[in-house]
Amino acid sequence: MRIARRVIVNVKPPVPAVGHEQTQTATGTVTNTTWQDMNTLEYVSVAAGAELLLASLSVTPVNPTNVCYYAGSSCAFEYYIETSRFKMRLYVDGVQKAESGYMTNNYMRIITYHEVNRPTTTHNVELKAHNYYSGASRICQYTTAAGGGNREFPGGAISFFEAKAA
Amino acid sequence: MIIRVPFTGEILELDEQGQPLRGSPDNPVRIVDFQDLLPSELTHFSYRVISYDVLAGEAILDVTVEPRRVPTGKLLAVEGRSDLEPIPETREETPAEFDDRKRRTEEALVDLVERRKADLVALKSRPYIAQR
Repeated sequence: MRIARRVIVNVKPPVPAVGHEQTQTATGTVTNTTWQDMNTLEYVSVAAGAELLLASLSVTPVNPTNVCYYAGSSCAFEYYIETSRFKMRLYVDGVQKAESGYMTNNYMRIITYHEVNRPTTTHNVELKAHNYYSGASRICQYTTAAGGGNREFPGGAISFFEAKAA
Repeated sequence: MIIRVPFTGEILELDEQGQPLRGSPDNPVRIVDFQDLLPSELTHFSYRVISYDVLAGEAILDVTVEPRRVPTGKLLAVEGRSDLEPIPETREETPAEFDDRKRRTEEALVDLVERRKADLVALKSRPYIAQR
């Protein structure tokens, strides 16, 4: 069985991954979904076991031998009942690549995923929030000025890198 | 830790190495929700897919147990929002607490994969629900 070569990076774009000379080439465009401000309390309700699209990115690798997806989200969840109901999932062309830990109020979660030998066709990368709770849970963008929180990934965002082999 | 678990969804195309290249938009290739079979305290982990074993219907995952915040039992008022109910106060997990939970989580995952595989496989039949 072929085991894909992986390099787990934990950096903020456009800082290169450790051990790799990276070229930051976001050849796609990031499309964020529309989110409600937390102060309005107009949350999006997500059914038990359902997935909500946070962000998507269409990307065409120029050098497909070494690509890295960096996705993150900073959201507020079921605010005054339960904060740990959602995990993020990263999909590439409808195939799951990774899942984060639970998301929590006020904290940013990220996923990084590195893979090799993607075809030089256009790929669809998606970041989704999965509701693991047994009932419906609510979610909204964490943008309230009063509450602070991390604004790097309001709602959800994805970056794309191509890397040269170390 | 590395584990093998069933995956579900519809594969539309394989690459030259036999890996799923494209999944159905309506039924993506994804890992089963095995958190449903573990106590909630033992579900604070993330994973990355190393590869898919399409013939076996399993994915090989690299699982990482993550730190969590522990409720203190106190409730905190939401600053500037007297109309909201108080939220539970939490604190950082101590290293000893983390090590203990990490050990128990990994034991539970091994138990799940090795002895309760039928439960995991049963989750493959769960329908996909997407929301916008």
